[in-house]
Amino acid sequence: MTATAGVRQVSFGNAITLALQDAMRDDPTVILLGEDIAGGAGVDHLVNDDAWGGPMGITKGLVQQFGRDRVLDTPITEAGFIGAAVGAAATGLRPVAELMFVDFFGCCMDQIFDQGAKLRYMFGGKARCPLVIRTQIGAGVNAAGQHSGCHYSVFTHMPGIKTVVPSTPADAYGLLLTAIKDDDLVMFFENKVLYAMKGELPEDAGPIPFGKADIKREGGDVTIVAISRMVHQSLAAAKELANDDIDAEVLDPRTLSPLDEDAILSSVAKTHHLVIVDEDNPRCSAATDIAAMVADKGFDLLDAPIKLVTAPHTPVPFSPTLEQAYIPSPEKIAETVRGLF
Amino acid sequence: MPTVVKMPKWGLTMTSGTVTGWLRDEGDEVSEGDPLFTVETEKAVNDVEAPADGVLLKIVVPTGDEAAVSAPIAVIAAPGESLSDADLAALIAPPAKSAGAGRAASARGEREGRTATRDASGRVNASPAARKLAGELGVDLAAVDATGPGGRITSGDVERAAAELQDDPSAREAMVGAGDLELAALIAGPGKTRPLLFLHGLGGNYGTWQVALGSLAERHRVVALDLPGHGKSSKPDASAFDYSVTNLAKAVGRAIETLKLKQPIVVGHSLGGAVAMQLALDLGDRIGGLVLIDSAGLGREIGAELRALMAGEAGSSTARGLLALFYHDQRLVLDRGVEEMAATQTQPGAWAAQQAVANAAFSDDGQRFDLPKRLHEITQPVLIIWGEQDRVIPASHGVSAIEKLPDALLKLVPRVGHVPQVEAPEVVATAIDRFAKSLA
Repeated sequence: MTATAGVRQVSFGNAITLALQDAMRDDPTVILLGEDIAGGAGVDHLVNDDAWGGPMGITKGLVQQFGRDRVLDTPITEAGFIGAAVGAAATGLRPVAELMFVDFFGCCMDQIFDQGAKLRYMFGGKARCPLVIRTQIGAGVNAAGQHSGCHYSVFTHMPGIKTVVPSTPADAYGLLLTAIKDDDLVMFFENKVLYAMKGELPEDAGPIPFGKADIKREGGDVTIVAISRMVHQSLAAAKELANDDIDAEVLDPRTLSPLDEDAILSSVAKTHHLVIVDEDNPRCSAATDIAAMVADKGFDLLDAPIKLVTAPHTPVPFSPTLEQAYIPSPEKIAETVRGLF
Repeated sequence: MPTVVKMPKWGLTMTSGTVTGWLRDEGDEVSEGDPLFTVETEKAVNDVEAPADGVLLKIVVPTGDEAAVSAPIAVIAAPGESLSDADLAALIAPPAKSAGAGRAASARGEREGRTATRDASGRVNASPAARKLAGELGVDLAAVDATGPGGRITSGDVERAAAELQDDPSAREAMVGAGDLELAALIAGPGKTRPLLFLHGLGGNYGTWQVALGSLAERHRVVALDLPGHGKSSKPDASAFDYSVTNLAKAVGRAIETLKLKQPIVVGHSLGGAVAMQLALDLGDRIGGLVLIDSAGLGREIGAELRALMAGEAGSSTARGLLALFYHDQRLVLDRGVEEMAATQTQPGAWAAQQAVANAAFSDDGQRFDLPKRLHEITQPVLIIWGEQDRVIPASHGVSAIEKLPDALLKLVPRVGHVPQVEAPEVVATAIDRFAKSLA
């Protein structure tokens, strides 16, 4: 399924698998841990070729390639295996742990926040925590309140944690390589609705640096900063807005911590209008964080108030109708933009 | 072809006049140049002459009535011509309000500009970007039409207003950004012509140009600035700001950028002339020409009386002394002029700033500039105007400057002292007008 020479069409999920594969091949200290990421331990007919490779198949094939010493199925205990991952990172390995759904972070928050995130700081640099925690986020598949949140805002708030929110296969691939090479604790947020989305991945793709936003659509009238899957909602809104003669610029920050403030301010300097689209809940969120930064550093650039299009301040509904109302839609984004002019 | 006789504009700030008497009647035959009616304004009483031969067909504004500048006052029919009532009515009807101002078609469909809303304290509704831009461009937000939702002025609205103002010929005052400073400016005249930039002298302000600009503004875009430390411009403390001519020229240069003046002719009086020369040296072919009026920077001598007065206290006594020194005709030293000058001197920071300018410019040995030595570097066309009876800077400086600037023009004005633009404004205006035309 190759489009042009030197570029493949891969899905978002495939891109992540490829990044894990390439990283594990290049560095023998990279190991994977998580619930059912290999799958089938102790079950004869599932042990090798038919092992599940994770609930969404992202880690499929890796246990066959790298063995059960490097691809570990863990018991159902986030506190246990995230703690183990922190310890492994501090003692010389480069683990990539999978927190199956971000909503489960309550079970391992001490391990992430009070241990992993603070080791380097409190040991004066003598300890490092080169740990990547991959985790699923996002509503839209009727997985209900405990399997559908985003909550990258919670981790962006915490010093010592880097947070990565890719929106395309190419970004997922390059950013995961960087995350694995990074010596600090990185949370890598994968929107589950995006796993099947296809996109281009160049043959010579390499690591993408943190703190560098990407303009997914250039425009002159309004800056739309969109996080993760909201990039695609915003691109759809931009198409609609073009009919109203409003030319929207869609900016994908790609990482929330570190945040590419300069790119956002440059864009607002051009357009004088800012809308932030964020599927996370609105209180104390990445959206409010970005809005405050621009209201401070970009005050004189603005021709209109900064507008946020976010989920409501509720858990994710199970009802399909309500769930769709929860997620910022292209229509809601377009309407918010129109209200600025 | 009938001729409409309109209310003339005498001086830059005249907006209307009162007809105080008709010297001819309807039906009279008139010749070009015949006095027709008398007009009184705040500043003058004068007769208006017939601009053409013919018959005085209609008196539009009777004795005792006031009319705005350019309003129709009478109609003269050409010899043998007759006009229907409808034609006559059409000639004297007020012009339809132009659709230009106030219509701000935005890219997002048609959005009419309207008056901006205000909050309870009267603050006009304008976005942060609009406020900043208005400050930089010297645009008054109260005059900007708003296209933003809820009656908000946007930065685009300010840009449009600034562009319209560029073309708006009516006189207005503005504050112009010049780096960290703000300079007060009087702006008038048609937008698309080569601009004339006027710089007053030590202790003065742009008011010195008012009468001379009255006629110049009909054909030229004129901008008269208050220099730093003078008039309504910023007056930074002398310990924090360099009041030398070199630095004054830098500030004026920044104002030229803010105003986007292209190839202006810079007209400088006295110390303003030295600033103009410095600008010409600094900015090269970005300056279109120079007019130096009783200018500093062309020689060494400076009247000792001036130095003595500048070393004194601000107030009526110093002001009277300065005016008596400046003018040849002592009848021009009027109490009202003295009070006006004393009032500007006693504004906070003004006198200290002006003394700093004087000390930077003049010493016991005379003018401090190296400008006389650099005359040969000036490549722009130059007109020099000098009052023959100047007791502050001798007219001989103007004469000897011609030797070093062989292509320069010199106009000596007899029976006039240091400030020809006040003592003989028509002479100065005509000379500048001809000079500007010659460069076109």
